[in-house]
Amino acid sequence: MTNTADEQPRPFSPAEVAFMVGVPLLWGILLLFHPVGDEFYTTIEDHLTRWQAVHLGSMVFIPLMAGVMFLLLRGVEGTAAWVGRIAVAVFAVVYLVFEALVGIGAGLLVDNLNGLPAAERADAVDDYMDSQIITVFETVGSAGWIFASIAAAVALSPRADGGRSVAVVLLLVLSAVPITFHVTPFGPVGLTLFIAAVVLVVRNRSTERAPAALGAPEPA
Amino acid sequence: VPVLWAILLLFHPGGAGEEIYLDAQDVVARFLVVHIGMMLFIPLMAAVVWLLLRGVEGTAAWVSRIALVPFVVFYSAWEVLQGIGVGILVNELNGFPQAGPALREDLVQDFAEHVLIGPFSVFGTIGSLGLIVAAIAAGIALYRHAGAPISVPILLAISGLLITVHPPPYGPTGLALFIVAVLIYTRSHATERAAAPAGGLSSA
Repeated sequence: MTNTADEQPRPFSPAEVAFMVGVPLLWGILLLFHPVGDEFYTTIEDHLTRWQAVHLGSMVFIPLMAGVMFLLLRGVEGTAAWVGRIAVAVFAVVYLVFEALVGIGAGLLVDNLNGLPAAERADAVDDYMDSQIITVFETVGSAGWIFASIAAAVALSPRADGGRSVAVVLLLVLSAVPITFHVTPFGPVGLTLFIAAVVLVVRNRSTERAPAALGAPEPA
Repeated sequence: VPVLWAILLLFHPGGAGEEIYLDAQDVVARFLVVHIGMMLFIPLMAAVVWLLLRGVEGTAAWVSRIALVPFVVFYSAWEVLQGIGVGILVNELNGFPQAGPALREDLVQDFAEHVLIGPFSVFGTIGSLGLIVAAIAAGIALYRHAGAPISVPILLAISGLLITVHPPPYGPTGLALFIVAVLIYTRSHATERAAAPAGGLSSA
């Protein structure tokens, strides 16, 4: 079931738009500082403070991104919208766990490996990062965001006009996988695409509401 | 939610926290299962408090709702790292022949006592304070704005303190007190609503 014309979701307030654009924008900027390298141990050891700061920040942005997705789907009915809400809740919990384990946990491990011979520190960090449990959290959490984005695209597409509808779907779907990779350049690029989708949805909802307001007076 | 969380916590491995590797090395699976479950119950518990405050106005109710956010983010992170992170580390070190027993113990102990995730750490303190503030403020809000008896804020405040400690007997006891507070509140709420039509007055 989708909304009919007279059950249109209300437009977003300026504060809500600022939240929906500001959260992915700030997370994208933060992810530009994500240390990148070929080997976990040396990458983390060389940039320990930056590694931990970026992942601490990401731990805050993950539930906030879930909040953005919830807001984007506010007032949208139908199965796809509910799949999106449930999937984004899975993302918020499980991806947060993954981020804490990989980001903060690996940072703490590197910080505490001085007792181990230098040659074996990288192996210890690799063993931790390659743990099956962490892989499960990464897979489930990422799948949560990808499902949420696709479901949101499906739920929101009938509400936009032809061109915008296609653009919203494409932007949301294309943004999903890079966001789950999150390291630069993928994360910031994915978040930029997501912001573009949000802007289109916001504009669409405003223009959708305007003719309705012209045609029929707002209820008191 | 609190009943199931309390049951799960009964299986939380014990130990004084001074020899975490030795305490956890033979119960890694239980250690991991309990803490993976915790990761689900922490946001669900926040949802329970949120639901308890549905329709309740006032500053205390908003303080409680806001305090639930740091509880969910930081207490989850603390639990994840103390529970799952330590569990993974113990598991990986069990299969890491290069590290001797003493080195394994030191590595796990240093990891678990780090300033970010240790017993009185940044994450643990912020997350615990989040729940304690949320529970106290929820109690005040229900007492002042929803007609709850005085026992409700008292029970909620004590439960908040005990739940943050979480291994048995503290966690299950705290959750039991929380359930009692919820039952007292819902009963008083139901009685109040039943009395309102009889008196010809609505609380709206």
